[in-house]
Order: sequence, then C-alpha cells, then structure tokens
Amino acid sequence: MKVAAIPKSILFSAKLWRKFIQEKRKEYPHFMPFNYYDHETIENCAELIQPIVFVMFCLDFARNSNYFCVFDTPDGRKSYGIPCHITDKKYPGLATVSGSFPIITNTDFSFSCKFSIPEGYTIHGADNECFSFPEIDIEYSQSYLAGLRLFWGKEVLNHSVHVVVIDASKYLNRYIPDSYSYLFKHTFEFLAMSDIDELSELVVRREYNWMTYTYTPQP
Amino acid sequence: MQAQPVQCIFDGKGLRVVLPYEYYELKYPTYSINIECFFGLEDELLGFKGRALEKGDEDFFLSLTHTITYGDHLAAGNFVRKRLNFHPEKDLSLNLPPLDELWRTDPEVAQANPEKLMYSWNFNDVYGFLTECVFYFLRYAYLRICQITGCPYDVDGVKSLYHSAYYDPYRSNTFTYIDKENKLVFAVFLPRYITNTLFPPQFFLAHPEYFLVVPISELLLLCKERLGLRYLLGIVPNAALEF
Repeated sequence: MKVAAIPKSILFSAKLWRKFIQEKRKEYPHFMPFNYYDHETIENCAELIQPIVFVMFCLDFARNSNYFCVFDTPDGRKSYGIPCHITDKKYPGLATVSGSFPIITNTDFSFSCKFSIPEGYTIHGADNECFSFPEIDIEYSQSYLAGLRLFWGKEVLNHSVHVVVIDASKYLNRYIPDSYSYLFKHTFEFLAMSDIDELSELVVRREYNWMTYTYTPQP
Repeated sequence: MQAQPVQCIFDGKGLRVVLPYEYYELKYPTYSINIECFFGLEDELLGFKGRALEKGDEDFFLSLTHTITYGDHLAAGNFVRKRLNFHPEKDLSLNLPPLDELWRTDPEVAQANPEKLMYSWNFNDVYGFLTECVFYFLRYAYLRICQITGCPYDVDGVKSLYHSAYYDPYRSNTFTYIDKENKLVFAVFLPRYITNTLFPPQFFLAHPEYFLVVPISELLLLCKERLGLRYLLGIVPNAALEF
C-alpha cells in the first residue's frame, strides 16, 4: 500500500511551509498532489508525516452531537472511530481515502471518497443482522493545518490526525432512529469503558470541547 | 476552602460545579479546571528551569500550569474589575504568595466565607471567567519569574496581554482537552512577539540557568506522555501561520 506523506520539517515552521507551497505552486498551478510512499518503508520514519483521517459516526448532529458509534477493532479493543490513510488508490478491505492539496489558499486540502467500514471492525454491541453502515460518500475540504488535531504513531509520532464526523442519523432507519441509540456512547461513557484504543482516547480527549458543555443548575 | 480546587462532575446533562451539600455523596468522577500557558518563539518554545519558578534545580517546565481554586474564582474577577493598577516599582517589591495560592493576594478573598465562595460559582460565562483567570495567573507568574530571575518587568507587555485576545477561546492559538488525571484544561499558546516582549531574547539567552529554548519539531520526541504538549503540536503549525 502506498500512503501520502509530507516532510516533517515544513510543518513546524511558517517560513518553510510557505516556501514549500510556493515552490510546489510553480510546478502545480491549481492543486498539489501528495507524494506517496510504500507504507511499510516509512511507517517508522520520523522525517515524513503521514496524514490520517479519523472517521467518527455521530448519532445525530442536531440532537446528540456528543454520542458516537463504538466499534470493536481487529485487535479486540474499542474504538470511537475508524482511522484511515490517504492512499494512491482504493485498497480492498482497507479504509482509505484519496486526496490532494488545492493550493488556492495555501493551506487547504480536500478529498472525496467512498468510505466503507474496513474488514475486522464491527459495531460494538450490535448483532450482525442489527445494523451496519452502507458505503458512505465523504466530501472533505478543510484547511490542512487547522484540521490537524494531534500527532500519533506506534513507534514515532509521525501521523497527523484529522477528524471527519459523519452524521449517522442519515443512515439510520428514519422511523425508529432511537432503536439504535444504544450503539452510540457519550464521550464520558466512552472514556469510562475498558480496553479503549489509544488513538480513540487521544482524539476524544482533544475533540470534546468541555467548555461548551458547562452549565449551572437553576435553584 | 479558598485553596480547594473547583470540582466539576458530568451528570448526564453536562458539566457543572459540585455544590457543597453534594460533597459527601458524590456518585460521579470529579474533574478539576486548569489553565496551561505555552510561550512560543520563532520555531521554538520557551521553557523554564525549575529554579526560575522556585521548584527545584532538576526539573524543567515547557508550560506554566495552574489548577483553579474556589479562591481564584473570586480573586480573578476582582483583579480584572480593579482595572489594572500597575506600578512597576511597587509590583516588583510585592511579597507574592506561592503561585498555587494566588488568591491570598486579595484580602477580600482571604476573608471570604467558605460557603459563600462555593455558592458564588457559576458557569454562566465560562469563557469570560477563564479569560480572566489566564490573565490573572499570567500576570502574577510573570511578575514572580521577573523577581526571581531579574528579567526586566515590562508593564506595557502585561497591559497588552490584557487588552489583546491572545487567550480568546475561539482563537486558533487556544485549545481545550481532558487530561488523563481528570483535569479539564484550557490551554493558551502565546505568540512569539508576546513572549519576546515579556522575556527579551537577549535576557533569556544569557540566563540558561533559568530558561531553555526547545525547537518545536523536536518536541515530537518529548511529548508522548504529556498530553498538553502533544495537543499543542497539533495547533502550532496553524497558529504559526496566523501570527
């Protein structure tokens, strides 16, 4: 599998980032394709940062924006979303997306893809017949830098994590949406579960803006 | 009570402060509220040796942190309402309490009734309150570091901190997170020109016994277990472009 990656050196210097984009713009006037590398070769390379997209399924944007679907992962942990690499092409059985940097604003990147839950992932608490997500069209366009949430990696922190939230209510049965709500857990419930995977926990601790959910009870 | 960290719970509806009568029958995990300030340079972070904060010679700190107490809540509000009466010479000779007991600087808070302190808390304006707290903490922390290290105390720099929006929760240089030790954290990354105003480069470079400068790209090696630092790295590239 070939995955997208960018040099680490440009990320932490505004000067180098601008220079990098300007030089690329000479070569690619409208959009800049990613460079792709063999995944195994660069997996532990500290000098290349691999952007990954963490896809989360929210119960309902409007009514339950802090409830997300929990998955059982292939290694027996619980995950709050599906991580996927940006790849040069679709690889069967893997969650991947393809993308590019439109460089109109210097910082944006976007992709569109058909996303499906990868092999080995199952919805936690659901029997097989109960419910599954269909293949989903994702259109993503956001500032690459503003959308960067954290760095992650098993050996070295060489993956930049970007979060995409899907409104699951679009894919639930319209007439009985609440019947699936038990498959979605609130952020604090998820953090209290055992065996949660490291990346999910890191994303949740950063993504949940606790200030937004403070309140004072009325006497 | 003044020194007790404010305790919050998530009760299903949201996060709220624990009321006094609930203390003996809490059914939920509790969370404290914290602020964390990072000092940005060109492509580096300014850190502090333990000696600069009177915290021993061995440690170093890449951020300044503070857990908000019930006393801080009232003291920060009073401090901002008193409208910044800065007197550089007077300030530098102030006998400051330790940074985790800043509420002692306000006699009204020191004498306040504990019950009143707890019941006065509310989350109606959490953004405004945290902004006040960051400024209140930064002002005293900066003053204390100047007293200890001999760094020139820049009154205009402190005033500009207050009048600026560097710790506006909606800006790209701020973020929130939940620490693994049940801390709710509001973090602020101060841009380099503020850092350089408060701590002139010629001073901190001449005093490695108090300060250290760490290239941000190298922090990826240091931050695996330090969530604040790790999340900071996620916002630095964007904040660096903006400022």
